[in-house]
Order: sequence, then structure tokens, then C-alpha cells
Amino acid sequence: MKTIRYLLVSALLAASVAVMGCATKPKPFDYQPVTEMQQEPGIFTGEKGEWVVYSSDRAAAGEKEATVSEPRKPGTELTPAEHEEFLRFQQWQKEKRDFEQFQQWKRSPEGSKEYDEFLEWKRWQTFQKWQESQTRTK
Amino acid sequence: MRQMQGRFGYCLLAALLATAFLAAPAAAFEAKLSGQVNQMMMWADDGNEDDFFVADNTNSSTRFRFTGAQAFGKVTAGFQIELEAQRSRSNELFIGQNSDGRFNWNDRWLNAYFDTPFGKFEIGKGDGAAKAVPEIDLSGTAVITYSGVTDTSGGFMFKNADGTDFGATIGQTRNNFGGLSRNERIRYNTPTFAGFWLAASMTNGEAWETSAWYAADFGGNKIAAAVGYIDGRKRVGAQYTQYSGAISWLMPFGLNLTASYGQRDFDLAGRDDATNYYFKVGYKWDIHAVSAEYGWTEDMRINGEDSSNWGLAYVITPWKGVEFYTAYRQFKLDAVVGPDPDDIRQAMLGTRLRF
Repeated sequence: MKTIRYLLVSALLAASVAVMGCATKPKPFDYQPVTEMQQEPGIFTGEKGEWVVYSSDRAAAGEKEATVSEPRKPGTELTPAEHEEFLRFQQWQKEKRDFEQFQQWKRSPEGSKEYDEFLEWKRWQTFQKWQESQTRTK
Repeated sequence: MRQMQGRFGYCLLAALLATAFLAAPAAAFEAKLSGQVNQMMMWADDGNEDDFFVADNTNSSTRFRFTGAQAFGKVTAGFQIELEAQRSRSNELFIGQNSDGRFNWNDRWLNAYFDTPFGKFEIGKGDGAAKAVPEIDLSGTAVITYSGVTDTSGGFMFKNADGTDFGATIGQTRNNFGGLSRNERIRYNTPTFAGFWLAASMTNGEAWETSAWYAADFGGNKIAAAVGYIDGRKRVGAQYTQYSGAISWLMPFGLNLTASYGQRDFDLAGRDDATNYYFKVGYKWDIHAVSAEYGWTEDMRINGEDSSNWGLAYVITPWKGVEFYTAYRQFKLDAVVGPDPDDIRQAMLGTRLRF
């Protein structure tokens, strides 16, 4: 019986050594004892298998987000006059953005061509109005 | 021995002080919560009577864990608090049990650690350096069968043919000779070199453990192996020295082989060394894992007594975090004198949910 046991153990060890000898570049892995909790997915915790109760990174990101988003939510701490002024400021910013986009388009090769045509059309309209006024005078 | 312990303490202190020089401003801190519930049904028959149980699977019990870690430059300071909550523990079941058993709160891990370029230093309650050595298993069925066979059967008493108690439980006659499980200790783990690392720990009662580990993947062939040594002669409940070793090999196509060996020297005149052998062959594919095992322990309770078992197991993981398992085991005892007691048979069906 003992001989069989030793043969079994020896065979397993020999096979393992053979595999280790033949294979190239072993890659170490993190062995986790089977009776301990494994690093595997959980039902509620998803792929990570752990629920992050607190993360300093997340907390810092939260603080940053709160600081940035403050001006976007006026009203509660502002007086009605300040709120109205803020809305006008937002409207001005929107118009300014539109104007800048228009300026950019105008400077673009396609835009400048179209804008020249637009200016020509405006001049033509002015000319038309002038002609109409001349006819009415006669 | 005392001199050695003193040296170990000084080395540990020196290394911890050295880490102070590596200290840097704090980086990200994370605290995490995780846990699992592991419950099963069991039928058992001692040859005289049979019984049905609903129990908590002690192989990998119901528990939850709270961990936290923060990096300070090259040093990571962290902690692990793990509490086990069990009722009707599978290792304490006995035929004739007519209640849910006791509820047990158990502090499994209360561990603080410092992970440094020189290795990992741990202090607090946790596993000794050699505890998990004979448990090495890559079969995927360890949730229900592994070398620690007493975790699901330790309380069952062998019975004589006439129905009287033989006088020995499975738990008294079997052991995988792992290290000291979860005790107040200091522990040091070296950094990993090409898959190899060493560990040493010391606990109360001047009990020492050392171990050497290896875990690597050779082109899809995963191999995990370890050897360990324990000297617990001055610790209450561990008056022995012990060797153990195990290896598990998972091949790329799913076939896997596991072998575990352990030996205990009782340090008593006239007492033979107790030995344990455990073998498992398994196959893993997709979400399935099956295995067959055979193991035996010699001279554990008394000289000349041989206790063995064989078993079959199947585990399926249909969804992430959910496992279902079933297993059958049969235990046999070769008595030193007189007729052998009846075999004990058990069948189990259960689930482990990770949350």
C-alpha cells in the first residue's frame, strides 16, 4: 500500500517538474487559500466583489464637482434681482458663444464665400429699395 | 529558541522602522465591504441511523469582511476585519441532533498590515504562515470537498454493528495537519520572486510557523504548491511539531490533480507520528467543476488506527457570485482491535452566495 502511495506522489511531482521544465516563462499568479473569501464577483458588488464604502478619490472628485456645479444652480441663495441678472448673464454668454461661432464660420473658406454672397445680397436689397423709392418719387 | 524569537522581533522592528524612510504623502484611501452566505442541506447515515440537516458550510463559512488600505508612497498600510456568523456549523453536526445548534460569532481576522518593497508585515488575528499549506486546491470544487474533510463531517460518531458508539468521531481520527488557524500573531511574507515567496509567523505560546510557497502559470498550466513547518510545543492545544506540503496542478484543458501530505510529531514517548494523505482528480469546464477524492489519516487518535474516505463533488456557477454544489462522501475506520465500525455516508447539496 505504502509503495503505491509513494508512487502516486512521485508521479505527480515528476509530471509537475516536467511541465515546469518544458514550459517557457512562468507567470506568477496570486494564489488565494480556498477556505478564505476569494477575489471574485459578487451579486450586489459586481465584478470587483467588494462594495467601496469610502474612497478618498471619489470624495475628492465629489467635492470638485460640487464646486463647479454651484453657479449652475442659482435661485435658492440669490435674491430675485440677482437671479434675473444671472439669467441675463447666461443669455449673454449664449449669444456671445453664437456670435463667436458665427465669426469662426465667417473666417472659414466656406463661410467667407457664403458671407460675401450674403453681403452682396444685402447690397442688392438696398439697391432694390432705392430703385423702388425712385419710382415712387417719379 | 528564545534567542531566535528575539532576533525575529528585532528584524521585524528594524524592517518597520526602515519603512518609515520610504514614507511619502498619502495617496488614495479605500474602505471596502464584502461577504458571503454558504448554506447547505445534508443527509448522513452512520450505519445505524440516518438524519437530515440544514447547516452552515464550514469549508467556507458565512461571513462578512471589512477592509481598508492607503498607500503612502512605497508603503501601503491596511487592515482586514472579518467576522464569521454561523448557526448549525457543518463540522459540529451529529446524528440525532434535533435543533438548529448554537449561533456562533467568530472573529476570523483582526489584522493590520504594512505592505512594503521588503515584504508584507502583519500583526493581529489571522492565519499562521503554514495554515493554508495542505489546503492548496485548484479543482474549483473546494467549496464542498477539500483536504479538510472534517469541516463538513467532524461531529459524526462511528458506530459499532450493534448500534453502540465506537468511541471516536471523524473529527478525532482525521486531520490535514494545516498550520495554526487564525490566532494572534505577527507574520512576515517576503516579496514574490518568480512565483516563489516565504512566510514566517509567531504566536502566543511561542508557537512558530514557516512556509514556502509557489504559484505560477506555465502556458496555461497553473501550478500552486507549498511546504510548511510548525513548532507549537509550548502552546496550549498545539503541543506538537508538524510538517505539511501540497501541490495542485490545473491543466489548460481543465483536468486537475491535487495532492496533500501532512505529518504530526506528538512529542510524546511511545506515540507514533500521525500522517495524512489526500488526493483529488478533477475536471473544470465552462461553469462546471467535478472531482473525485481519496484521503486517509494514520495514527491520529491512537497508534495503528487508520481513517479514510472517498468522495465525489460537483459545483456549478450559473451566475456571477452564485454557486451550487453537491457532494457524496463515505468514511471508513480501520480499528486497531476488534471489528471495524460501520462506514459513515453523507450527501450534501448547497449554495454559496457572494455579495
